[in-house]
Amino acid sequence: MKNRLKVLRAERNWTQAQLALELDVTRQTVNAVETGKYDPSLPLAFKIARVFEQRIEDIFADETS
Amino acid sequence: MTADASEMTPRDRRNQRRYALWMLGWFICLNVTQALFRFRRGLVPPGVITWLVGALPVVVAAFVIWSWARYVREADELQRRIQLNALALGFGVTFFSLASYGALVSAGAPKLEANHYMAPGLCVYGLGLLYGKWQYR
Repeated sequence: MKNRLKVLRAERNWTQAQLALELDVTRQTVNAVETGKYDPSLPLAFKIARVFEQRIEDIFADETS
Repeated sequence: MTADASEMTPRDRRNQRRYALWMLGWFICLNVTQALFRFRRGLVPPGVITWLVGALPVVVAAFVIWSWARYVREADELQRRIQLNALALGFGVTFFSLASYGALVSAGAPKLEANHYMAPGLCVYGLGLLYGKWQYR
């Protein structure tokens, strides 16, 4: 699954650690999602969308689409 | 249960402290109980009390397991995945070592004590954690 997490984070000048704190996850999780090594669960995807005030589909996209 | 401190949430750190305290309690309890039975047997009245003292480390171990389960349950989803994967590997190796070594004993291999079977499982659990950390680095 592709995502725009890194771009959105960079736009806000947040570090991975700051975003991890916002999402209540570890920095490793933020990094793994950003690099596409790990696809987040639906609750975490919703949380990410809430933090960035975007819709889930504006952040995450199916690799095949 | 091992995790890099920089890769833990404040909740993970709290849960790990709780786990470490119970683990320390279990270790002390086990050693005190064993020392009591070995060197001061006279201090322990025979009968039910002996069994209760002997069972004390098991009771404390229940809290160790509970605190570990809580850590895994409350860890963030990626850490939980890494932990569960490592636990599955460690458990599998321990279970099949226990189950299969009997055949080797029949073939002439030396009999092992129960705690010897845990060593490969613990090693594989540790390797599983390291692999998870590397996989999602």
